Amino acid sequence: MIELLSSGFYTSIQDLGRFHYTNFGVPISGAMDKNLSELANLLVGNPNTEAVIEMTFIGPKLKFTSACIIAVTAYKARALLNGKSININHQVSVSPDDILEVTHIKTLAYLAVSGGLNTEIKLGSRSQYQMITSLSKCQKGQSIELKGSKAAFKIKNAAIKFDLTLYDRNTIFVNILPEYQELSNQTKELLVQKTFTISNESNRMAYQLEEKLENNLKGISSVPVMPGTVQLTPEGRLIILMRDAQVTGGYPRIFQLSDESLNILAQKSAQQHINFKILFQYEN
Amino acid sequence: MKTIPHNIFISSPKCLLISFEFKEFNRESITILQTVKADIELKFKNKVSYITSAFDSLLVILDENYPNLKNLKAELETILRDYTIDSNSENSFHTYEIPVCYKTFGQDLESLSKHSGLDVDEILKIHSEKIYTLYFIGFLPGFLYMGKVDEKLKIPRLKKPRPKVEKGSIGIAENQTGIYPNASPGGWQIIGRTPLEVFNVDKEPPATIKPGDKIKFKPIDEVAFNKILNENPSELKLL
Repeated sequence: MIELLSSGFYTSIQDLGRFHYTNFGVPISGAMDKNLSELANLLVGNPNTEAVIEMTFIGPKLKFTSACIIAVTAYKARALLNGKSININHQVSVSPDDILEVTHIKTLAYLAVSGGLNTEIKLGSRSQYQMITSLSKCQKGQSIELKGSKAAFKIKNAAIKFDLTLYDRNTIFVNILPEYQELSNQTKELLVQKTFTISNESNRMAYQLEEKLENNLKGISSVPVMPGTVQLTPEGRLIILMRDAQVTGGYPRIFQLSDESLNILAQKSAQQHINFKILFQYEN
Repeated sequence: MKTIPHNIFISSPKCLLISFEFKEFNRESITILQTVKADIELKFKNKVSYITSAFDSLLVILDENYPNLKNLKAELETILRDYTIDSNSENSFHTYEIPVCYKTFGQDLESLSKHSGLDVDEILKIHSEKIYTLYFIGFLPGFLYMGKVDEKLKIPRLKKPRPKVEKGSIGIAENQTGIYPNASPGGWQIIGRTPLEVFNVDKEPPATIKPGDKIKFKPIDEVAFNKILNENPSELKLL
């Protein structure tokens, strides 16, 4: 078991997500950065379907009640086991009563435990979401049950190479979406020339961008959207939908982020800058 | 056999958007959309991860990046050409009866009465006589979007959304009527409440009523409301 001595800034349990209930209005959810959540699982010998703990900026203080193998993955973070610094993006053995703290996270860190987390499954996923799971995020004092470490999985020294420099990139790759075609040439040019700033109103549902664009598009009726869809609001702001986004939306759709760019964007935070690059235009 | 005007848009290496040009949103358009969705799910079972539907479009997400999306687009075009909606597809939709206690819980009935110039009893009669179509489930997990509400009952959303709308609340926003599946913030004008549970995450599927199904509201009093709430809140009656 893992006991949460503190909750951290925003900590939640996430797996790959809930895919088959969009027609019931249920968001996809799942880890914001699939690269590092899957790396965490890989480092402890789990399949990528196991749930991990997603931490934001300041992680929780956790106490392990049994021995297990863990991995903390992050672009940048400080991890302390009983007050002593441990490697991130590595396997680590923990003993009963060990206390783990993860701080200085840039922006999201993941904790995987060998064998996986044994939290409740709702609609096919352990990902926490309001009105779907009993808790919408992790809370102080909560205990997280573990499935139990697989005896066969022995700690190995072999580090898995993962290129973290990809998070230094500010270019977000996109494909165009239907309403993009109706934008003026000037707006189309601005979209790829301008540098955009991530606003403070950014969370697991959506990242908003600060800069305003001209928007002469007509309103549309609700259309299906997905994580990575970029919408243009009537006041000319861009909204990039993230993993907890609603499954339908009424704003014109401009871009769809590539899977990799969605992971990279998830690791960026307020006041950081991005620019868009159109990947490839399909013959539509 | 007819071809429904449509457009297929490739939006990423694994996503296709199919949008239809329906003249209006009605039961026929929902039936077509949901039937096409079911057909694609069946024919491309091993390729499709999931499909999200809204008023007039489908978003098809494939399991993996698809090597030849153009071929897939062509295959989809074949399905959509000469498309037949037969009586069977109509038959796969049901009509449900949803009991509603209007007067006790309809906190916005009075303002709707002022807005429409109708008295509360007339509002109840107009709202409960019509058979509605479930357009889609969205906005919140399990929120049922239905239409169309009689012109006389059309009313804009509240200027300031309420921080808490109770579970089961029935609301009106413009020409749509909806059911809040759980307590949540909300801006629809509340005209009543159903004791029935329309969405339950511990059931498979979590909602019984699906897009294209029809709904008729049945006015009940507070006694009947409490009886259903305490005895069988999950029993949905077919009409």
